[in-house]
Amino acid sequence: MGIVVAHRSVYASVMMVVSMLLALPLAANQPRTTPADGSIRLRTPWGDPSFQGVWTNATITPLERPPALADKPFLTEEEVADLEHRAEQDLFIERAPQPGDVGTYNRVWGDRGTRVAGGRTSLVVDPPDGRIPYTPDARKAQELTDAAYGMGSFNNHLEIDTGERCLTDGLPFVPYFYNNNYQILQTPQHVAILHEMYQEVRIIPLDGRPHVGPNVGQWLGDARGHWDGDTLVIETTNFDDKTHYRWAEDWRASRPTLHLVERFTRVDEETIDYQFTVTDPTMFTRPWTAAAPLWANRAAGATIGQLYEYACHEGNYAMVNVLSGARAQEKAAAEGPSTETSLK
Amino acid sequence: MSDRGGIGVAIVMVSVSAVACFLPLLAMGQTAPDGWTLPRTLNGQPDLQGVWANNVATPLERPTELADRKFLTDEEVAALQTQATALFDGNGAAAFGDSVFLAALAEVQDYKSTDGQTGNYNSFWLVDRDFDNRTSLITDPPDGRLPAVTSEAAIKAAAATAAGRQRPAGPEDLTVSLRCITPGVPNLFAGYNSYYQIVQTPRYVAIATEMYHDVRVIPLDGGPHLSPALRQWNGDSRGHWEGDTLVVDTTNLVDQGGTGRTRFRLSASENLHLVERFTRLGPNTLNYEFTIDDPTTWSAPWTAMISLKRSEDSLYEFACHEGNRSMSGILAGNRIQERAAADATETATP
Repeated sequence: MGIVVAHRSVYASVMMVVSMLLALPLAANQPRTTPADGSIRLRTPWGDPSFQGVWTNATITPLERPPALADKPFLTEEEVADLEHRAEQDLFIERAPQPGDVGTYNRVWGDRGTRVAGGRTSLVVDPPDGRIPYTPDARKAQELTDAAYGMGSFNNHLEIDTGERCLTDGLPFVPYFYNNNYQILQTPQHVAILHEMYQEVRIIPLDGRPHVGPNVGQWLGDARGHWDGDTLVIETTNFDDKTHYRWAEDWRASRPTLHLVERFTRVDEETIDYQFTVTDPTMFTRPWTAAAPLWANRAAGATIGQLYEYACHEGNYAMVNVLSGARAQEKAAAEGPSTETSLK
Repeated sequence: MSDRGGIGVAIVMVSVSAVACFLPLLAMGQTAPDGWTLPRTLNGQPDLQGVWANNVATPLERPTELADRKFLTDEEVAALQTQATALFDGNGAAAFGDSVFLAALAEVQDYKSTDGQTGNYNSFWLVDRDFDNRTSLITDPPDGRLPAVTSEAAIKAAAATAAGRQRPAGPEDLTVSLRCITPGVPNLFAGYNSYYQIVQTPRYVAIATEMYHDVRVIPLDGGPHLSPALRQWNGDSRGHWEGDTLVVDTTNLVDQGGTGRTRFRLSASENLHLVERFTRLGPNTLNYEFTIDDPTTWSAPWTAMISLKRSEDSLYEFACHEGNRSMSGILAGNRIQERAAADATETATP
């Protein structure tokens, strides 16, 4: 029996969304109406588009399009309404753990929101099939990572992914089971983004200074921003090679071959169009792009309010329990046969 | 031999003595440099933005041998600086917190940190400290020493000292700094990752610290503190401007517990009320003054001051937790020592 790591119920959450999508009556393949036309200009006093505030990217839209919806990039408005309504209802349903499941968070702790992002069936917008263009090897590696989740091995903490270890899940910003909140501050020279998850902060210079030298690598790389019209473009390089760690999602692992470009565009009062393009020829057959909007959190069906401390590491008793559980299982397995023998 | 072993202990000591490094710079009567005008943000606030370093050597409390000396002469400062430069040339053991100043003051010839046996950082890893004329960071009380502790706090401290002699059973028995959780507020740790980046908007001031990759985002909108039921490691901070000084008021801290292994030599209680005052005094100087009011712990409020220096460097990630092998080293070492002690007892009692 594998050990379930209580910290990460994200897969359960994603599977719930996928199953809801699959259960949709497939109506006509018409795109949802275009989001706001961008004519609203919310600007800082010095004239830059303003992203300041608290935002969430909570959404029930999965990153990759479920295979069953392969030909359906967009939902109809009715489908979206139905899906969002069911997501709202679903918030109040308590589910018993699956047989063999040691238990996990109950639903009240989740904060995935109720909204479908842009009426789409995947956050990935390019390639058009809504799927990450992994190379065959990279796809296989991610499948192995997924399959190993909760199954071990659990020899030590290094065999547990960086998120479970309270370090980071890496960049870019993609919605998770909870703590999908971001606070953005802006000055003429910097953009600071605080992510509630892991209390991660990025202070990104906009003054055109070059990236740090190639010898400096960081978990979150080295980010530089500039304006492309009314779009804030953040380019991140200098990701350290952390591939010897386990990651929940291989594609977000910090590694020198990762090149990340994020684009923030203020669309309306309640929305930032956040898109990111990931390039890494060692892992993907081509660059790919996803759109995961940042919403004023009142608009997302997610928890409203300021950011708070996460206190991940000091509350991470799951880590101790996972490892000691694995040791207990080993011991039981080692003692099991001899006990049987002595009983005979 | 240490009963705790190694670097971990050193860091514990460090954070305790870092505590010891508090502040009063106002006493120096610093004035703005000629021809300098306070830079302002677009909306007219004093501009505190940039990277600021706290590498001062001045100890938190005035050493008893300097009891009547609020200030050193320039010659004395130069002598201390020379002493420290020679002592901490990069090859010997590192000194943290007040230890740099105190070792230089005592004219120590061969500095041994912690227990002198298990080893520690060498001084290569630490920034050279800046000596100035002040003999304590504490400006009030005027003797530069922490006020008397309350009887309640004294009992707590005694219990903490006793607990500190026990072997740590798990990470919870070690300090939050050793556990890579937070430096806490205020952070007095000088000379190691003691860099702060301030980003400022009309409604917020964000202060990122390189130590622990920690950040505070402080609203300036005049809103009330959180409900007292809500406690955070760094509390709940609210800022406002008093003239050209940024005043940050912090409550809602967690109880530091009775372990005595955190800030200020003593654990502050959850009743700690912290008021920090940031004043830009020049192109390269940010005056940081704070007042601690914790009637549960101290018989009077006290105030300290640190002169932060502008840095052209950037902050980088700390990567504390994932590099924290000393935690498992300390705990494993203690288990081995426990076993050895138990074995010895068994042998002694046939």
